[in-house]
Amino acid sequence: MVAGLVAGLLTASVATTSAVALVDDPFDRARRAAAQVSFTGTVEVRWLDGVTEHHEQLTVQSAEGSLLLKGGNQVMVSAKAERLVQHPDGGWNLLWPPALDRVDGPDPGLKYQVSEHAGSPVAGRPTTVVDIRQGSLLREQVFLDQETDLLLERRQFDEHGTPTRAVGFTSLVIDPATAVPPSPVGSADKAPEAVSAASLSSPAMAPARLADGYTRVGVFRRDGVVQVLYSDGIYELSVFERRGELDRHELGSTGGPVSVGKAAGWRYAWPGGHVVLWQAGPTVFTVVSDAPLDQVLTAAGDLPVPEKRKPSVMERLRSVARTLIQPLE
Amino acid sequence: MNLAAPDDHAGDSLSALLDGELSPAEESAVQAHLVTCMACRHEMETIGVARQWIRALPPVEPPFGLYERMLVPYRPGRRRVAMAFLGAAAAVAAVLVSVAPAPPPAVDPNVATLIEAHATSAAEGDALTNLAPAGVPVSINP
Repeated sequence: MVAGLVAGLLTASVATTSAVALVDDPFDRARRAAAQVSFTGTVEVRWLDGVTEHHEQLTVQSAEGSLLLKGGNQVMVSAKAERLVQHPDGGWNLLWPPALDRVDGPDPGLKYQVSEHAGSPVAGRPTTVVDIRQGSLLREQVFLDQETDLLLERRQFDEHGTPTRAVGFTSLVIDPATAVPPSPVGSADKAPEAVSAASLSSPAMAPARLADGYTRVGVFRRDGVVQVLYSDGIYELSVFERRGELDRHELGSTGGPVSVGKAAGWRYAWPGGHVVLWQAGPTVFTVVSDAPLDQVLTAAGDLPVPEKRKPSVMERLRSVARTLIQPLE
Repeated sequence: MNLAAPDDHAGDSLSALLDGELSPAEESAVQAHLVTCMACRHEMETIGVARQWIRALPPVEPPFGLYERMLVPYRPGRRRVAMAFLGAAAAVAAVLVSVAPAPPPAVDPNVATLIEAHATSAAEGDALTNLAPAGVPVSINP
């Protein structure tokens, strides 16, 4: 990944006079900084749902690699790299264990070009901005603290260049004396297990690659639900599938229609990205992603369409019988 | 039909729309509803397909003597036989419905749970910006 970004930056630096040499991936720098710097602050999450803008504020506390976010839900990364969520009405759920098999995402330099320049202050701190472009399209801007490399703000743009969501500090206090957030006691284990794609009942439904550079990085199962996780090196995309008929009357009044390949689907915005649901043959697919919507639809449209099994004689008889007795009901 | 309410669906108006039986105002209301309602668009497609199938069927000549038999005077004995036959057919149909495999289950994905699963499994980017969205309860109501 590092080599790819350096190569990407070198390419970008030819075209962009303000580009400077990156020593490594900005997200790697931010991760290292977050593990070493202790801080408290306020983070704002902003996102667009159609034309409606939403925003929520969370408090954050981080020390010794342990991170606690408090909003409507509480979210925590423990020092052991466990990821936990607590809803207002319940105890903590362990949703990601310390070590779970997933491979690294592809080299983002294969798809994106990266350049750095000085940015506007975030939470009163000078920043370096990393522009992540796909061709001529600005996809993401990452604002790094010039002093510590902490990631202070992340902005995402749609295919028209419109900002669609952002996560950033509105206040930040860096203090080595910040207390380590206490680890939850007695959390419920809701963590998935890693499974191999070959062990799935329909391995063809978890292809190794999807359109737009998305590569499979893991397959997980939790409570019987399979999650196939893809990455393009910057964004991630989860595919969930269930056999059955999508209950279209339960789609709700939010969101909007989209086309997923040849199928008609429905999309929702969530604070971190998009959710798309659609029916393909006998299967209902749900894709959750932090990627821009156009990328989500391109990748989702590349999933194979499961074949609908031909009904058995008994099923056909049953269908006829239902038609016969329906008027009598 | 009040299409202003989000829970309302076009129902029989879809078929009427295809048959050109709606007034201009009703037609505009249904068309506007179809833009935002995936369920009704799906139903519209289904109705359209069914109409095409029916129209594609060849015309069928009534069997020889049908009209003559319809004009035969009413006889209670024949009616009893017909009712017995219908009853037996309904009984067989009911048995078939009860013993045959169930239709595919209706799927209503728990989107909030799937979002949390995705947010906590994401590793690209940094932990704070990946996980902060999961700190906002999801208000999607699919």
